[in-house]
Amino acid sequence: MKLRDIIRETQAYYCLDCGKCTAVCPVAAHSETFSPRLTVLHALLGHNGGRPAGRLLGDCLTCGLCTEVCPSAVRYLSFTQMLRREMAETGSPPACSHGGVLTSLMRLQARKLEGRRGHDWVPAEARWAETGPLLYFTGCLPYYEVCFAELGASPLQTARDVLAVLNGLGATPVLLDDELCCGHDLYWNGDEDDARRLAERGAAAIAAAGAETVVSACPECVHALRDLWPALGVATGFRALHLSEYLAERGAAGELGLAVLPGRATYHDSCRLARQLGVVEAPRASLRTIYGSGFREMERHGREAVCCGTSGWLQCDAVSRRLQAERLREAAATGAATLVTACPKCRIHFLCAQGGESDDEVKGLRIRDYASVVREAMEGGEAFGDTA
Amino acid sequence: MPESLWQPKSLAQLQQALLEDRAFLEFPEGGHFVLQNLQDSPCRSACPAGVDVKGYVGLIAQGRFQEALDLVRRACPLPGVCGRICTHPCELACQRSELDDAVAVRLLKRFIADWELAHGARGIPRAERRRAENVAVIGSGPAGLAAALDLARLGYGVTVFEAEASPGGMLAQVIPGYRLPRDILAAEIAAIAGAGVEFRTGVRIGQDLSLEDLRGQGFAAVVIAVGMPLGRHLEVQGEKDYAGVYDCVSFLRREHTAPRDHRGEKLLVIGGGMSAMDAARTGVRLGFDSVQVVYRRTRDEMPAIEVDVVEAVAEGVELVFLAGPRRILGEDGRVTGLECDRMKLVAADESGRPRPVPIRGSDFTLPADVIVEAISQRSDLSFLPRALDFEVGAWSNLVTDPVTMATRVPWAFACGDVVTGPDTVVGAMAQGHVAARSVHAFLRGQPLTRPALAPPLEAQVRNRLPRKQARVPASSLDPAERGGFDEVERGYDVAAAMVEAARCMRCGPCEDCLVCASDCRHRHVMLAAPGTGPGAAAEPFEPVLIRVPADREEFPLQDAPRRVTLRWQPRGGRAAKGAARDAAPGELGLELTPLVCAVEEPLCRGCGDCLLACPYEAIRLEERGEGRPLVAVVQTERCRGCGTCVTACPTQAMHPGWFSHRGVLEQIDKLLAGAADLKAEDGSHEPRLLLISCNWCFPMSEALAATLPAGTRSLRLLCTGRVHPSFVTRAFEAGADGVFVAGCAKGECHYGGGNERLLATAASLRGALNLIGLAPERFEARLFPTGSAEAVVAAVQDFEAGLRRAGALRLATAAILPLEVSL
Repeated sequence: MKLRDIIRETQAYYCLDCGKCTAVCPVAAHSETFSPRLTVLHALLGHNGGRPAGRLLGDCLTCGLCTEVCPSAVRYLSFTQMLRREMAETGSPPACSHGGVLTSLMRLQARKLEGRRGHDWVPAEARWAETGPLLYFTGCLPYYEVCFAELGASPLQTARDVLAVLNGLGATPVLLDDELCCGHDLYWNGDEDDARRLAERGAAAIAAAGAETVVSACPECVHALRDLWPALGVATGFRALHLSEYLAERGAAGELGLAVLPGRATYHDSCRLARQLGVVEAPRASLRTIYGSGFREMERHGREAVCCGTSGWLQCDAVSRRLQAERLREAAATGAATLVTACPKCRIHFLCAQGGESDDEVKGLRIRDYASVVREAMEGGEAFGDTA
Repeated sequence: MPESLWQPKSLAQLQQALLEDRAFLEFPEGGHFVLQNLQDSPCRSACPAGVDVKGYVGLIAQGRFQEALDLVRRACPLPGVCGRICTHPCELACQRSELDDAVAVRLLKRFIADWELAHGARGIPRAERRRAENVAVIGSGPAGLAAALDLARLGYGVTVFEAEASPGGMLAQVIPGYRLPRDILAAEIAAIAGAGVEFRTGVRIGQDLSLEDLRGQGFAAVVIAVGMPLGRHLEVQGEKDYAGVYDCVSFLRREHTAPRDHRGEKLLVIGGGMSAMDAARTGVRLGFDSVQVVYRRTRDEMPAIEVDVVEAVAEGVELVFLAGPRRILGEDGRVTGLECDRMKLVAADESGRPRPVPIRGSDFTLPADVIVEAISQRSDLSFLPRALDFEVGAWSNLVTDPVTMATRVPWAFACGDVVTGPDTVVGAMAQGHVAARSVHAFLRGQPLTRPALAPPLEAQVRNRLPRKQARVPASSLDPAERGGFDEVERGYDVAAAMVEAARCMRCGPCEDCLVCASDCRHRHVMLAAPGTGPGAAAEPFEPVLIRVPADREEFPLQDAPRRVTLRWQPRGGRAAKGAARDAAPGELGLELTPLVCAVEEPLCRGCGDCLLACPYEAIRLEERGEGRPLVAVVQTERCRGCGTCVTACPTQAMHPGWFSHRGVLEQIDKLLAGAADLKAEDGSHEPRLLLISCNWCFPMSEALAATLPAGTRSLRLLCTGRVHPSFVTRAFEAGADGVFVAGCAKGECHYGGGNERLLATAASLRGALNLIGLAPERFEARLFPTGSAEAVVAAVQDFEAGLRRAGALRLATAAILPLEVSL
């Protein structure tokens, strides 16, 4: 796609050069080189062939705060994604952290035609099925369990907690024996071909299981299944819901008999859930029930919430770290002892950053996944030894 | 073409120019670089000639024998000779001796020399004649040969004059053939001749030609390396009265040129040094009924090296200690015996050895038919014209400036035994190097200097010792079979040499040996930098690598190199720089990359993972102000460039100076791309397999490597702790059917615990590969004891059999996504 077409498609030519995007951009606040406004300007003026120089394109978190404030409705996220796609095709995709191994594993899943993965992590007492109307899409949690063991986060515990919550609602969800990556990261990093491969095979597997509703505890998976797969031309005959949406739909607060948990807690909105999917209220509904008057909002929350600092395993750096540290201090400032997030990636990033912080209140924060909190409340608030 | 327009066309030329001070590297921030590594490994520091021991031992371990020999010949023109008779001070300094035995450096040098001869000697490349001046070298012993070769390499016309019929000096005349076969010596001298040195034998300066004649014939400088070819006498009673009394040099020379039958006779050798052992062991071979060595002190004080004494005793030589010669006895004009005093040892004399004094009335007589006085040697300087101002010392030595080897005659320099008195081969060669350098400076009108010697490595670099592994023994001829002058010691074969070389612990930093160059896929040289500011050469140096820009295209690197300027002068020498500055200096931009790892600060999130991974505690975290994350900082003086931190860093903020994360991924793509045609469509599947192994521990001969499965592509890393999970996943993406990683056994890692890190990486990676349904037989990481290349090959063969059973790994597309950019 030509740059001209990208500009037209994303309405970049509507840019008024007003600078509101740069004012709210969390990266621009800490980086001396990055500015959404300038990136668009360079494209419009054709500087450097219209492509942002060097790492700038990978610096964008695609968090979407800029599009929230843009008076001209420039589709900046699509603009970034399309430019990345162009750069990937011309041989210079943006750099990834962790040596690129997570992205490499995604591509291998997209391309490799053999092999199936098992469900070793599923507890014996859990109820699950191979076919049925409700499907639980675990996403990358098993990979994170392997790759981030040193964080002590046990990402797979989140998956066990989701299963327990769904079982608690009387549901017996389908677990796919050959579940593949949702393709979210590859799409946003510009590798649409591999994202489409994953979408095609993923949609076929979900269809084969007969699922009508797909639930995930990962906002990126939900975003991919609901928005990106159709955008990649892959038809889906199911609804994709975040766990919090599913619980809200089921009126779960009453149905699950959630207990009140002691202490104060606050909630971090993930970019994908709050802005791309517009899910702000659903998780809060459960958390207000669980924590009662102990639930506090951070200064920046809902659609104005700030990103956890990294997305798509793109290049993590000093700016990421500063965003994370800032967000953790913001959470601690509410007086909360628990920071709840409904995105496994946000949780991993915060846990990683927390390890290097010296502030006692930040160090004392318990960073938990939404599903784990719900499960604990559902089971009466008793301590579960291995609950994250 | 005026010299000022000179431009380096190759790495070798650049090195040479830097060595000659014709060029230097200038940094934007000030300060110059000259080619000298100021931190040598202990073995190299101990070598008088400065042979890069660690470098060539490393090359032997990799089976790169010709390159090893080339490296030796940079400083030692006689590898086959030194491989046999060098007193190997390097082995005495070898740090491995703290653990078990020193690395058998001498035998390894002998091995490559023999290997070259057995494979059709390539010899020494002919040196290009670049300068008008001719230099005469008088004497063709080791000092003269070293000086001659150095001068030829500097571009001069060099002629060596030798009084005897064949060149080699004492090596040809006196050293017995059972220690140094003459065909070895002849081959090495032929190699030096092949480099462009002319030999004129049978020309005795002082008789056939005078020193002034040489000047008249156009020799602009003369190197006097005539040695000490005459023996000394004891000056005891009866010495001159009877036939059968010889000095050692005369005895050996005579018996070497015209051996006689001494059956039925008794030999007495007086002295405890190496020539005494040579005389005694030669005596055994000449058929003497008995051979006794008479020495004033005891075995502990003998200057001869241990192995010679052991072999002498094994061959039947009897050692008589604490015996001081008093009088030579004879009858009818022939010697019959030696009268000795029994000695006792008292406090040490100025030589540091206990002083022997006679015990009154203890005299005894040893019967003898031949007596050899192996006590010392002297020179023959009768050829020096009286008109010239040479100074001769008390020991008949030619006096020179101890630093520059200059005599009082401006165009004459001297080196070797004639200056030092009888010394070792390697000591003589060391002097030859200095003399050549001074001749060069003299002819170029530069002041005579010698570069400061590199101080030996202060702190021990290795922080963990590898597992004990004894030195590989070399066999020797059974004493019962040593009738003639056949060589006694047998050298190593290929396998033994590679295993022995792999025992080297590689103390100290990179030494420009280029061992790693072929693996890194780019060439670099070691330079040392003075502190900042002009003329700060005396300041501490930090090791750096310099890369030749021509290599960039083929092997691109993404580490951020620094720009430096190479400048050169019409007349070299930094001392002459002020005067020459305005003449016609030239310059050339170069890129310089530190050997050490460096942190790209904007990428560093201060997690400290690198700090935990570094085997050398070379990384610390520094503050960068309020609200900013800590930043990792590499302490360059500690960093050894192993790259372990590069793998540990989650954000790729850590860059090694040489091969980056991306650089390794590119190598993987390249290696596997070449094997694409191995996957046949008809089902006769030839598995593609990537073998990642430790660079140091599994030297593999070509023959052994040939037994690896055909689809194997090999990637060697300096340390398998460097293996990043993405190396393996990238290999699968690139189409590998399997990946096998061979690390060294626990406790044997050159970099500490790299092998343990490999196991940890492999365990978590296996979990991830399992999740994507990759059959477990497609990935394996195993540790093998050092030197067990056969076991590695066998394991890879088994692994490949498993891949055949598993079938081809089918991918939806063969297109490899381009690598990410990190700018």
